[in-house]
Amino acid sequence: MKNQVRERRADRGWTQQDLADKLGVSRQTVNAIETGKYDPSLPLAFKLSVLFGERIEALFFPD
Amino acid sequence: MALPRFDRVHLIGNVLWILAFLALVMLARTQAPALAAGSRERIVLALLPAAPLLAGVLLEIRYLLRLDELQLRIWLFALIGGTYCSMSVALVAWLLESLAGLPRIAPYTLFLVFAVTTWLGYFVARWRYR
Repeated sequence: MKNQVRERRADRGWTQQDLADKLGVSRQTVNAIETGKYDPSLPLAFKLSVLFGERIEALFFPD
Repeated sequence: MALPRFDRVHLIGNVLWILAFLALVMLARTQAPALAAGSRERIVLALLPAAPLLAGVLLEIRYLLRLDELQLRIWLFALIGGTYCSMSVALVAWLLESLAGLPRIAPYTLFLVFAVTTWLGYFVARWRYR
């Protein structure tokens, strides 16, 4: 699954660690999501959605 | 690179329960022959080393509950790999002992097998999600 997490994070000038702290996960998890190696759970996807103020389908979409 | 606080607690806790286990095994091995076979005291003495094993299980569960979803996935991958490898080695060792007549392998060997395969699984899983 592709996503716009890296772009949205960069728009806000946050580091991966900043985003990880806001989500309550490790930096490794943020990196794995951004690179598409790991698809987050629905609760974590909702957290990202709320944090970036976007709908989930605007952040995540199929390959 | 400094370990996060709960990683340190996990590491130190693991070292402590393993040391306690080995110390209690030594104690039981030296004191058991002085007691009557099958006596309550000897059974209690023989079961003493189970206490640190239980502590190890609780420590591991506590650690797993503090991980985020990806870290949990990585650790479960590693622990399942380590558990199955250890179980396989234990069964093969039992077959070699009971059917092939080879000498008994020390149960401590399983510690080593479990540690090596779990860490191998951990690094493979980390590499996959790097």
